[in-house]
Amino acid sequence: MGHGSGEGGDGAGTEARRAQEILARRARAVAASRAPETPEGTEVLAFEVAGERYALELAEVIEVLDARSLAPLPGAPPWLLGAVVARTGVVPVLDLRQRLGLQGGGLTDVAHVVVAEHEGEGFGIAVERLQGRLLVPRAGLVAGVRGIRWVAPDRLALLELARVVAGGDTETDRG
Amino acid sequence: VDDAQLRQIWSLFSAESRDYAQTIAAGALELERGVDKSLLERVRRAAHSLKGAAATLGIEDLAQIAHSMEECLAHAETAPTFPADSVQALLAAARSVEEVLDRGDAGELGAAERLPGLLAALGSAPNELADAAPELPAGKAPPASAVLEALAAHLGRLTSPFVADREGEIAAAARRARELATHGHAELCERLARSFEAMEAGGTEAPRAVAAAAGFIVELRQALGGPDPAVAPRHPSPGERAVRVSTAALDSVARHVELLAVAQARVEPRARSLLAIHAACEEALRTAADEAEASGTALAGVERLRELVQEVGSLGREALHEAARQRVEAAALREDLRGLRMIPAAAVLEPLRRTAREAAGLLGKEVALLLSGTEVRIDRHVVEELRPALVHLVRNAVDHGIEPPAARRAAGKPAEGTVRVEVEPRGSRVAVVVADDGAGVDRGRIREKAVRCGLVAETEVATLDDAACLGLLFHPGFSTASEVTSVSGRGVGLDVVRDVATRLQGTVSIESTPGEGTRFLLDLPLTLATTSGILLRLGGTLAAVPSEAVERVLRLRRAELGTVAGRACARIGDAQVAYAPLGQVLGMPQASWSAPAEVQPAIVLALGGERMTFGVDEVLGKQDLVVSSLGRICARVAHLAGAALLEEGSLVGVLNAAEIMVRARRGFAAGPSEAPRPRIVVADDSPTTRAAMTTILEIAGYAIAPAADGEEALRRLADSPCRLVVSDVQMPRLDGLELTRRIRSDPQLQSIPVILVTSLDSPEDRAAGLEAGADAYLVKREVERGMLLEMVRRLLPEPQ
Repeated sequence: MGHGSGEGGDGAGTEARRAQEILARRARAVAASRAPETPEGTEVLAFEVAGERYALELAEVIEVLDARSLAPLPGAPPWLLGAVVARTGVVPVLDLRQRLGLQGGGLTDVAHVVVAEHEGEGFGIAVERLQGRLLVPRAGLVAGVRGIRWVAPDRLALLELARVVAGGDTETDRG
Repeated sequence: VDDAQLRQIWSLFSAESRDYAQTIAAGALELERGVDKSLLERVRRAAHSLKGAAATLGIEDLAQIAHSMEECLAHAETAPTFPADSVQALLAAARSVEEVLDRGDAGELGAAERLPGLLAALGSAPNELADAAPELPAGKAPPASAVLEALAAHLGRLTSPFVADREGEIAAAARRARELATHGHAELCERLARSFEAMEAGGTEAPRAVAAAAGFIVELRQALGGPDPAVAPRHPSPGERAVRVSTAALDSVARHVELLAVAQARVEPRARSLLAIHAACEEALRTAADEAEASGTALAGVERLRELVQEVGSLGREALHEAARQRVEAAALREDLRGLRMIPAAAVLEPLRRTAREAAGLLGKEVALLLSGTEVRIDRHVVEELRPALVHLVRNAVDHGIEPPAARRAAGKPAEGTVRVEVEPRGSRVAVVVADDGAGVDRGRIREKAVRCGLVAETEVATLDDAACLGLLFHPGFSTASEVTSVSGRGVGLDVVRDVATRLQGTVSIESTPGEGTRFLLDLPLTLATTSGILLRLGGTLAAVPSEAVERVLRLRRAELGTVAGRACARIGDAQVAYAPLGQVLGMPQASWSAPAEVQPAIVLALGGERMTFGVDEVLGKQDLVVSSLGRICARVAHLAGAALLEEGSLVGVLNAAEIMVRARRGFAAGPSEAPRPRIVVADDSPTTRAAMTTILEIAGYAIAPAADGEEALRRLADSPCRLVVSDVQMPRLDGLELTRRIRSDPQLQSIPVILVTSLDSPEDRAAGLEAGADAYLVKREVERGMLLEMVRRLLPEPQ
């Protein structure tokens, strides 16, 4: 992105001021997009894994990639499907259910990799279907267990990323 | 020097001396922050030069001040810190020098004010100016450096106004200069001798002769190999000054370089797709153009499209060029960064002195720690990871290796034990040795302890060879000191050291001679950012192995593969080297590694003096790799060192060669026919259910340790290593939930998967089980339906 230098006049000063303004504007935009807790509810990215619906808070999502870029890793444990090159670097791609030790069938057709970040730790989640952005109303949410922060009345489960990062066999406090 | 002469050269002298005074003042302030040998030397040299110049011109006050400054600085050499009042005294003295010069500039050369006070503050009495010549060691030819020091001292005395026997001094200096010719550079030595002799004449010739002599001494110092203390360290050359960089900044640079590589890897495929689209457009355009021509319509539109398609083509080609250039730039950047990440091994070695001293003090032992290779440069990350392992090895050497002074004397050894830590570069790897001259490892006690810990069966322990016996020391939780000492601590074993070595893609080995001592050898890479790797295919998966660990790549004929004493081996030259399919070692599905090949591609890994052969499906060649970590999430996947971006932008898993060898050795040790069966604890208070589950799992190839309740299950877990626990929820004494919680809170056990099996099947029960930390929750009727086995296989991959 190059903002041209065609301002003329006292180049350096104007340029610096402009840069400041642009940065401030961007910061506001970023802050806005990273504040999914609107008065009505939480903005999430919803997707399907093994026929069940999960979601990540939009603020935690880095990008969504085509699953064709998923590279398998030799001798990887069942929860580690491979790795992808994301915008933020090379990240491992997880089989969510294996990672959380959840029951249910295996993955069938991985179509996308949702790349997320939690406390600087990047990773991808293999998903079969993307359902896009949703605004989940706060009313009617039920606390979940084992890597699920809460469950919406329509059974959409919001993931607890700390647990996803730590893996299924580690104690994590929910709350 | 008469007044007329003095006036002639005053301005020169004044300018030069001001320089010296300034150097001294600035240096004093810097010394206050910390004594640095080369800085100290520079300041001393300024004082010395000032003294010489002032003495030559007969300006006695200045010569005295300069001399006292020099003395004051000499005292600092042995002191750890530079005292504040010395700094004050030096600053005052420098100021006084400048005042004398100021007055001289104004034409009235006079005495310095407050001279006695100044000199006293600098720590010397007035007129205490006789420099003693350093006594040369008696005997044959003294080393050149000592002669040069003596010559410098002669020169110093000759420039002082108080030299007692000028002629004698000059004669001695000239003689020494000529003697120095035995070390070579005869011509320089002769000229030095002559310039000393020229001082005899006095008058205007003298300063010139002094300057010449000083110059020759500097030249000789360089020529004879001794470093010129003023020029040598600190600032190698004006264009190449070193700056300190915070490690955080360096990490940030490293991160961004990696992101750059990632971005670059994403650009190139995109440019290629753009070109592919361009080709498709051209094809479509041709058809459209034909039709347009035939029908005579839309000709203008087709023409416009042709232009656009051309533009897309040239954009694609430009993008591809850009990507290629970026790749080159990124590679250069990585190379530079790798250099920046290397730091001297001293960073990890020097603190060990304290470790050894503290440990020795606590244990009442006398230990000398000898370090070597402190200047070897190693990747900062390797150094940081290595730190705890070396601390452990040094403590271990002091604690378990070195005997108490009385025992040493009784064994005819000096009371003081020696621990050596040596770092030695070996190509792209580095060897780190921790050796002691203690009692050596007691094999009998290892064997005894191993049996007691259940690591080896009593019947087998006698058959263990020496290497296998010593290897037991690295087993988790093993410690030979029967009493736990505060130095080595409880439960910290050498397994920690091995883990560190393996994580760093290296190995650790031990040699020990009874009565003579023990020697640990760590074989590590110089840097973790591997730059090239051997690319392999295993079934449909690509993998890379750092090429520094690959001794060779070969194609084995069927006749070269066989078994020796029940172990698969490959004949390489005259040697039989252990062999295993790499896919099998990695626990990959059989289809991906068992392809029967008439000619079997294989690689030989060599680390820490050990070699092993691994069969692969294909060796694709050597590639430059940028290895990225897979993050904390994959930290426990020990066999993966990370993933690397290949040149064309695809990703490949990079194997940790050391871990592969550890895994293979585990397999080799047991022999292929009797691979160790993973043990599973089955806890249930109903004998029928227990027997049913045991049967299901035993048929599937697992070894079972049965338990009737939670407490018994915990005992089974303590008895011998187990890989998984299947437990009923409701049991007497200790129920399944509490058992799970205890397992989860025990650092030794917490990674063992737990499956809870129960007749209770309400969502609440399920939640309680999972909250306790169970990995899976099964209802009893699901056991019969094969769910148990499926769950076990999922949680415990790899046994056949």
